[in-house]
Amino acid sequence: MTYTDDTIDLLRDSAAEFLAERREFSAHKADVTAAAPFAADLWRELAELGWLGLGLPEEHGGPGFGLRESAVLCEQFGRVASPVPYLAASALPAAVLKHAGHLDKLAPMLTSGERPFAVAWQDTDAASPQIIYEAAQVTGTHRFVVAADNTSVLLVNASDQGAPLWVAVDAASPQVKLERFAMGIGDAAHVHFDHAPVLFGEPLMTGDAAQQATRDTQQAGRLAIAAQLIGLTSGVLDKTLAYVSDRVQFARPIASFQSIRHRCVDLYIGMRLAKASLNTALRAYEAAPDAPATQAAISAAKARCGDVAVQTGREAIQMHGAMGFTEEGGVGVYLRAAMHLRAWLGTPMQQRRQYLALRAAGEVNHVTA
Amino acid sequence: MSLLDSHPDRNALPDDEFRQQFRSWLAANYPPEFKQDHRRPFRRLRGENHLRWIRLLHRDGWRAPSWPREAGGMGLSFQKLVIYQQEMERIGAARVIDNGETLFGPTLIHFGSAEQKQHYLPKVLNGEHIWAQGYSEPNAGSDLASLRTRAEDQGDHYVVNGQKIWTTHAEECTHIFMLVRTGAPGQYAKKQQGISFLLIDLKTAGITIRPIRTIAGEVELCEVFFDNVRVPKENLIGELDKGWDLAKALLGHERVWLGSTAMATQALKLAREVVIQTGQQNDAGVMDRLAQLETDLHDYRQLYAEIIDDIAARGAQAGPEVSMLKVYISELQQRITEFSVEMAGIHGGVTGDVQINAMLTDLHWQWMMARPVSIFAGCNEVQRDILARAVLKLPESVGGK
Repeated sequence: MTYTDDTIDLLRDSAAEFLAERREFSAHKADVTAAAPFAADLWRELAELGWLGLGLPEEHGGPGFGLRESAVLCEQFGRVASPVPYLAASALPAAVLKHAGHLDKLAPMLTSGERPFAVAWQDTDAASPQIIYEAAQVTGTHRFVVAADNTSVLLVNASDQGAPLWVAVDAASPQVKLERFAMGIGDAAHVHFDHAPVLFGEPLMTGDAAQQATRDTQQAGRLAIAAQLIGLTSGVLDKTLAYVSDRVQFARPIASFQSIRHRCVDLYIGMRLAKASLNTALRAYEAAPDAPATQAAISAAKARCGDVAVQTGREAIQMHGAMGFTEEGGVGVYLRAAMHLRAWLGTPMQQRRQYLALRAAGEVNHVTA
Repeated sequence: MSLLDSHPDRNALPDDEFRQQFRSWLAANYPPEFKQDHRRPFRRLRGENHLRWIRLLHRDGWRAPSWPREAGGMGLSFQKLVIYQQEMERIGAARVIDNGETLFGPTLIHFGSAEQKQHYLPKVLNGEHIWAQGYSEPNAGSDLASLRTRAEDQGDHYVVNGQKIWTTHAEECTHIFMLVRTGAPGQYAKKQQGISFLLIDLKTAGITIRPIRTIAGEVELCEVFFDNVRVPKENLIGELDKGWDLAKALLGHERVWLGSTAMATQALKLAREVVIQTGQQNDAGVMDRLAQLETDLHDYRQLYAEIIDDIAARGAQAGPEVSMLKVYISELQQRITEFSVEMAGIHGGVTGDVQINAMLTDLHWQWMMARPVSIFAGCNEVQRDILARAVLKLPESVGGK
């Protein structure tokens, strides 16, 4: 299936309605610094809704669609500040699996919700040691693996004597150790492999296909993260606009004070800039995923969405007054989520440098048409 | 009425061909000395240069792109107007302040009588009349409806007394269209009522024009004083006392062009050149700040395009959300000009032309010329008020306006 504006709107509306009714999808943790167990029951509900593995081809048991649909769902999870790791455990793995072998086995595993997936890879953390692949086993450590759980299927990038490849590893294997911790409003783990056997006894992909998967997952991942950041931004902005309109001090709603009104306007403009930037990047990705202009547009969008989400979260706390400082006020959770997503797959500063480098290379034409 | 001449109907062309034709025409005809450069990144055409440009456009049928063809314009669709603007921006064409074409003409076409159109429109097109806009007064700026310049009915004519201010290029104009108060004191409940839209020949006895020097070192604004100025009755446009409606109607698509990226684009070109000419391309601090400005403009372009495409697709008038555009781009332009001055170090302290390595520039001028963009056409504070009320729908104070 391919997307149309109608199916996108339908998906957005039904996701918004579902998530608004099901508060457990945005339930907050009692101890924000503790890792929580994977919410397997909620995950299976997502499978029943047909939301898992979007982008995987139908002929291999995937639901079809593409990144645009995934991004719509990421945005909706962001709007309710949901800790359910849809992005990390479905959207990102689907981007890797698009290029993978053994998809006929892996796709149903993901889409049925039978197993959560997590992507353990070299991304922007240069301190990560290489994972070595030898004789159908992997050894080494990947750090900051988002949503990794001991029930996960881990998609791992590794190297075979310097040549990149991707493998799948069962996190429940005794040769895999997870150090889990809280990350944003969800969880992540440092994952240690000690001669861990790979599923299917062979890599999912090697050579150019493996490199392509890494590049594509980075770009798709940045877009999905940007979409979730937009959801966080619009979610907390709506909450704040409602709050300042209701909250009465000095016998008038605080939204009537110009100092509040103008700040709300600036946050709104920021959100619209972020949305416009992301829409351009999504269209560019769909038209020519590997083009330098697409990479530049994605970097600009990732940087903008990260900055705007953090700024909106910070301002939201201030405009909620003391209520904003409480966990139960439900505002801080948006900022906490944004702090993680802003950094994941590249901070705004790194992304803007990337944008400028592509521009300076003359590969991105600034002038319209 | 037919002002239609023999020029081809370019609105009928496919968009790509239209773009190509205009691009070729500009390449062959645009005077190179008019183009913006590092010294004058926001150059405007004045006096004789302005007239020369108007006549060039008029000669070849590229004049008044937004006017209907029966009024002598090009009758372009919104989409083609966007292309027209893009091509001008692409070659770094100078800005043109042509109130006759952008403000007066559309008002007359909509509200004027057949005789008024027949008389005035051709003279706007051929440059015989150059129009000034007479709205602001010393005590009626952002709060325009508080204006006090009066026109008294004297039977067969009006007598106008009062003062206008911030009238751009008034010394180079032949005529002025004005908002004047015609309602008697106490006649109306609201200050927007009792205002009329009046045309005045600037050569009429009793008019004094006093130029105002700006902080950019130029004379572009004027005060215009009216002392018992006799104005023929046929110079009233639309209904007596209903001039506010005419003025409001002008705020349609015109507000969209206030969001144009042309000036910020020129400012950023200069900023890049300042970084290069001062040899700071490898300074991470400088480059991070440049990257911020570059991505700000990139993202803004996407928002501007999104809103323009939406208006084109719906065929609708611009909504209140276009106030966002003016607010953001004017402040971005200011941030870029400030960056250039700061990055230029001591060169940035020079008032006037300064040579930085291979570049001749005038950093003081571009900084100062970027000040009024957040003030004119409804200052940004007022724009933010509009956005808070009309887009975010935030409640106002009890008993407030």
